Amino acid sequence: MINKSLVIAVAGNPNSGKTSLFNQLTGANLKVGNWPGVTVEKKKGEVIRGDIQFIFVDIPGTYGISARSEDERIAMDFLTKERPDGVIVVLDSANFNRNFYLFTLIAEMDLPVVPVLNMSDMAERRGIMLHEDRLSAIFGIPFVKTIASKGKGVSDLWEVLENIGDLKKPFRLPIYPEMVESVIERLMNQFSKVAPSRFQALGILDGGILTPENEHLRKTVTVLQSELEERLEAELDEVIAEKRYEFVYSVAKECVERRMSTEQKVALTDRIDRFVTNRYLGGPFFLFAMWLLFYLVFAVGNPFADWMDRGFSGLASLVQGQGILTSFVREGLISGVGAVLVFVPNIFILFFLIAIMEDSGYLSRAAFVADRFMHALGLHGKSFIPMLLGFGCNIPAVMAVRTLENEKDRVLTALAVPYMSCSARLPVYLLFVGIFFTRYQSFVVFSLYILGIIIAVAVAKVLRKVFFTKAVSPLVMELPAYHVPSIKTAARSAGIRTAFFLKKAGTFIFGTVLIIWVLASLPIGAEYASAGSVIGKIGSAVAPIFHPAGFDSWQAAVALIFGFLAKEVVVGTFGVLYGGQTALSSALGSQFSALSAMSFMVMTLVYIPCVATIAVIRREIGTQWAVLSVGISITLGYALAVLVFQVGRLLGMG
Amino acid sequence: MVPLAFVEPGSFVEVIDFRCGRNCGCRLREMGIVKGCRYLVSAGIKEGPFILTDGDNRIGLGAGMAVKVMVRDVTRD
Repeated sequence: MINKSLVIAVAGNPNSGKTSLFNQLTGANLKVGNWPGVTVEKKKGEVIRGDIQFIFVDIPGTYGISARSEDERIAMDFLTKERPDGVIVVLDSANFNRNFYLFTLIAEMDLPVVPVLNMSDMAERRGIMLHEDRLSAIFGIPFVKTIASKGKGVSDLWEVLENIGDLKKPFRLPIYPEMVESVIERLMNQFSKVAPSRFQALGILDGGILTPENEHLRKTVTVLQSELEERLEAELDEVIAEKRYEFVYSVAKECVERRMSTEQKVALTDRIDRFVTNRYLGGPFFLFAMWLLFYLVFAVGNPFADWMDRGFSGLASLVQGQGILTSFVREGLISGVGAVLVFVPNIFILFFLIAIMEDSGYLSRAAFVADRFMHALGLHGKSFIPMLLGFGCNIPAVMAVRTLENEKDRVLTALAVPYMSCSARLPVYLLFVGIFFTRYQSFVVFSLYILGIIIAVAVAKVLRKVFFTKAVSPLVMELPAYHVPSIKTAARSAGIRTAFFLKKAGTFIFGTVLIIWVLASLPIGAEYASAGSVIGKIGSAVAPIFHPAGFDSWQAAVALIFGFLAKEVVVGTFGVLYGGQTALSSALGSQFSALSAMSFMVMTLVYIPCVATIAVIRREIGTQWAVLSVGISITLGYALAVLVFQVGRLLGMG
Repeated sequence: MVPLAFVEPGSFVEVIDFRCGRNCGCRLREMGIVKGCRYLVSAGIKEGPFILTDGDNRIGLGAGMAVKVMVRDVTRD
């Protein structure tokens, strides 16, 4: 029987292994990665131990706690307004000072706090010894050493959590100059509602991190600030931060021991950095890495995809007969959904390689290398991370814009992300390059991905010019140490995402394919999937619009209309309408030329993000931006498809 | 004292001042770039972006930021 319920927040710097620890505690399977900003929203996990129900809340990883960026605001609101029963502060042991700074902020919040010294193995390998016994003695609260990725130390943590009610407040906290201390006390006494803890009192004092709503308080604070600054002869926020850091350094001096030279290990990451961020080599290396990624998607994925294709063809040939159900299973299910499923191996490999790139630590370097280029185009360097994540799926990529501090950067990035070729567009490319560009498959697909990046930055550049005139906020980002990516973690991450793709194929895409099959079978008596069927009539009505782009078959029009729901549906629709992968190749081969296939792929890449992405854009940045995004993408997609076809024809390629 | 943008990658620097607003100074401090502390400019392109390294803490600063962080070259110290 559950006796009590405890809400425990899991806080920490980005990349401190917070999500790994959360997964260990809750048995969840959330995505982890070696780049800052994996967790961009609160995630909950419930565990019952004995008679206690633990509700763990994984809050976004932050370096500080303020209202400057969306992820920090989420973290701050949860800790100060919802006041959990306890906070686990995950500290990266190899990076004690910076991580401990966040601990001091949370310790000032007057909440039961459980510091966890995570990744202690990595720290020890680098010659950094943390004395958790000394830390525990100084603060009067237990410090728990863990290696969350391996599950070590988690049982010790449970022991502390089960007795969290007995935890005392940390004995030692930063001490500020006396006049600041007396103001803190005054604020806490006089305005206990808005400043119930030292953290909030300081937040109000050091430059309005917590905007005081109360007019009386605002006036009081302004007077206090200028008085203090005059007497201290320095800016208040600097004095406060300085004292906090002094505190951090004094604790580090007592409790952190550097046993050997760390230079050797450090130098390896730095040596790699010198190469991959080099002025001349950085860009080409990035392009090479991307090209290699797509080459492997083909080289490794295609044999499996062919094997699956043969499987589906065999399956279809087993279904004989004329009835409605037979037709549905053969044309709808096997040809439609099967056409999408054939590409599962390629998609798995794409996800796997993206996970490897994330896990190795290269992802943030790519953003770093791209900074100058992005900056020149009016985008923030860090925007490159959501954009690259968009290669997997646009939905989490749009959500990742929360890690950007500036609202304008968030809006621009969210509007740029949908032009990144997600895994749902890949089946469309694979289908067409397999028919029309057999010799240059990976090159053509690679150029479509690059085209996506170019369009994304161009759209952002124009939108910045039109809507936001202020300069881009400069880049400051953490570059985590490289580590050898774990094949197991990458395979698991790719497995989860592929499973999501399969689920989508089994539900959403199946449903859409079913509708198309029904519309292709009606009216009763009309030939299946003919121009006389309902779907044929819908397609024929729209098809002339696409004539200038070189593809005016009604089937292509139908595929694009339904592709609005999810882009895999484009392939599924062709499957249903032409009947299976083999028939598909010959039918598309006769209806498209290499040039019109190219313009069709460009159209698929650019026109409209899928419904789910639009919904996420709306949620993250608002309805009017989502509407704008749809408007721009349809116009641009059509214009580019026409441009590709017409220019190609002029050059004699048609 | 010079902006970080003028420093050669590979040098050691001491951070002297931040010539930017409160928010930006605060962000740098939270990420471990603190006045009076020394860092290795471990990689970068002249004029930025740069990577400032202190042990295992590596912070990338874009070109725009590299002109706002004032440093002293302490490579020879």
